Amino acid sequence: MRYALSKILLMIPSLLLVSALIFGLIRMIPGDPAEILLGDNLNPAALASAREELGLDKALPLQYLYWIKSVASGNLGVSFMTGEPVLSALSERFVVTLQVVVPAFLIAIAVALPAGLVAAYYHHRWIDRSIVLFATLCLSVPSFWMALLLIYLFGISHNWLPTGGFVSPAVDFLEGIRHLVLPVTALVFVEIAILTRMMRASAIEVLQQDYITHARAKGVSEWRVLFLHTFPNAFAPSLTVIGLILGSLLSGTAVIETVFGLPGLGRFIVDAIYARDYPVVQGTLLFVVVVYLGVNLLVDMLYPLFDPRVRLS
Amino acid sequence: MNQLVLKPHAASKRTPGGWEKIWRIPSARISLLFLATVVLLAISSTVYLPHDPLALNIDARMQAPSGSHWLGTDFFGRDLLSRMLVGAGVSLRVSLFSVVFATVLGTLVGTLAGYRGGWTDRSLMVVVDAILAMPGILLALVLMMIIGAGEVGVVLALGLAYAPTVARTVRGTVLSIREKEFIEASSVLGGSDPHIMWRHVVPNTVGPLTVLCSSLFAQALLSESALSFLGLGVPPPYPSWGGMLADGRQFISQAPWLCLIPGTAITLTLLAINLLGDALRDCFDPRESEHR
Repeated sequence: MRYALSKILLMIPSLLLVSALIFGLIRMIPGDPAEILLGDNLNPAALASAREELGLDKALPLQYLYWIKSVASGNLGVSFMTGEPVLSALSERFVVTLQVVVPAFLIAIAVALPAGLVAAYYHHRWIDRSIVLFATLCLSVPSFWMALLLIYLFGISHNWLPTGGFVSPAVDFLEGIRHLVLPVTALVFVEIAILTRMMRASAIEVLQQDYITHARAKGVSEWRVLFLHTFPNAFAPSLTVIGLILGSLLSGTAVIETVFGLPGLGRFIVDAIYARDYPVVQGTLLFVVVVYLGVNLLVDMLYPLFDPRVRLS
Repeated sequence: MNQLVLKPHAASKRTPGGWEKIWRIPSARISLLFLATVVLLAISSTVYLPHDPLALNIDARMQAPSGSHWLGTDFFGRDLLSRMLVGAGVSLRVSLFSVVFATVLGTLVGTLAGYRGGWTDRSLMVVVDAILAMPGILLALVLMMIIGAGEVGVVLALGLAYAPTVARTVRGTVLSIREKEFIEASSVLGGSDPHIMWRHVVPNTVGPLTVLCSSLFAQALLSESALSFLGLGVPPPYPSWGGMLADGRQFISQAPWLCLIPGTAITLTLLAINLLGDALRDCFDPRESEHR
C-alpha cells in the first residue's frame, strides 16, 4: 500500500509536465478557437467578447494555472464547442472505447498465452514455426487495413454485419454485439501477435531452466511441466507488456474508431484537436495519460503475485 | 611454431559476422530481396512511369485493372500503378527519414543521459517518460498540425514522437557499457567525455539500435497511413501508400482494388521488415540466438 502511495506521489511531477506539454502543444497549433466558433459572423467586437468568454484573453501562464487549479478540484472545464462538461462527455466516450478494447484484449490473452506456450514447447519444430509465422503475419497487417478487409468481406460482399456506427448493448444487446464484432476483430489480431511472440520468448527461456529439467526428472507429466511450472514463470515478464498494450489500446484506437464511425475516446480527441477545443483536448489527453500510468502502476503492483522473487520496497 | 601453422586455419574458420549470418536465414534473404525490389521500383519511378500519377482523366474514372492500366484507375482517373510506384518512394522516404531523425535525436539524448547520469539523466528521463505516456499517434497528429502538413511535417512529427523510445533504449545500453573496463581505460588515458562517448560508447549501441530501428521503421510506415486516416498525412495530390489506402476507403464497394492494392503493398512490406527485424534480433541479441 505504501508502495502504491509513493508511486502515485511520484506521478504528480510527471503529470504536471505532461499537462504543461499538452497545454503548450495544443496552443501552438495555428488557429483561434474563438474564430472557429464564430464561423462566418466574424467582427472584432464579437471576437473579443468570445475570447473573453472562453478565457482566452488572459495571459497564457494564468490560463494554465486556472486550468490546473480546476483540474485539481476535479473539474475539467466545459467544451468550447458544445458547452458540455468535459468530464461527462469523455466518460460517455470512454465507455464506448472500453466496449471495443476490453473484449479484444481478453480474446487476445486467451489465444496468445496458450499459443506462445505451445510454440515454445515445440521450439524449432513445424508447429512453432507456423505459430511464429502466423504471429508475424498478424503483426504486419495494420489494424485499419484489417478493418477495411472485414468491412468489405462481411459488410459489403455478404451484408452479414453492420459496418459502422454504435448501438449500446445496454439498449439493444444483440444489435450492440453485432456492431462490436468487426471493430473487435480488427483490433484483436495485432494484440494476439505481440502477446504470442512475447509469451513464446519468455517460455523458451523458462523451459531451459534447471528446475524444469528437475521436474521432468522427477517424473512430472509434461502437461504439468508446461502449465504448472512453465506458465507462471513465463507469464510474469509478459505482464509488463500486457500493461503497456492495455494502456496504449485505451488511448490508441482513434483510427479504428474513425473507420467504423464509433463515438469513442480516440475519435473524440481527434475531433477536438481539429476544432481547437482546448478544454476537451487538454482534459481528455490528461485523462488518457492518467489511465495509461494507472494501468502500468496496477501491473507493477500485481507483479509480485506472479513472481514472488520480486518484492516491492 | 605451432601457432604460426594454426593462424591461417583459424582465420578461415572465423565465425561469420552479423550480416553474413542474416543472409543465411531464408526468411531474411527473401525479405531483403523483396525490400530491395521495392526500393529499386521506387527509384526507377523517378526515371520512367507508365502514366502521369497526377494527371486527371474524368473519362477513365475507377476502371478495373486492364491492359492499359495494369492496376486500374482511381476516383479521378489517375493510373494506380504509377501512383503506387511514386507512393512507394514517398512512403519509404518518409519512414526512413523519420527513423533517422528519431535515431539521431534519441541517441544524443540517451547517450547524454546514460553517460552523465545524476541530474542530467533524471531531468532528461522525466521529459522522455512524459512524452512516452502520451498516445504516439495523437502526439504526431498535434505536432503535424503545428509544423504543417507535407512530407517534412510527417517526418518531423513521427521523428519527435519516436525519439523518446530510442532515447530509453540507448540510455539502457549506455548504462551497461559505462561500467566496462575499456571506458575506464580510455578515461585514464585522458580521453575527453565527448571523445569517449563518440568513439567508445555510441559504437556499442549499434546492435540494439539496429533491432529497434527495424521495428520503428515498420511503425513509421504504419503511422504514416494512420495519419492519413485521421485526415493528415502526405497531402493530396501526392501519393503515399497510406494516403491511397485512406482515399480508397470511400469507394470500397464500387472499386475494392483501390484499397486492396495499397493495403497489400503495405502488409507485404511490413511483413518483410518484421521478418528482417526478427533475423536481426537473432543475430545481434545473444539472449535469443536461435540460429547457430
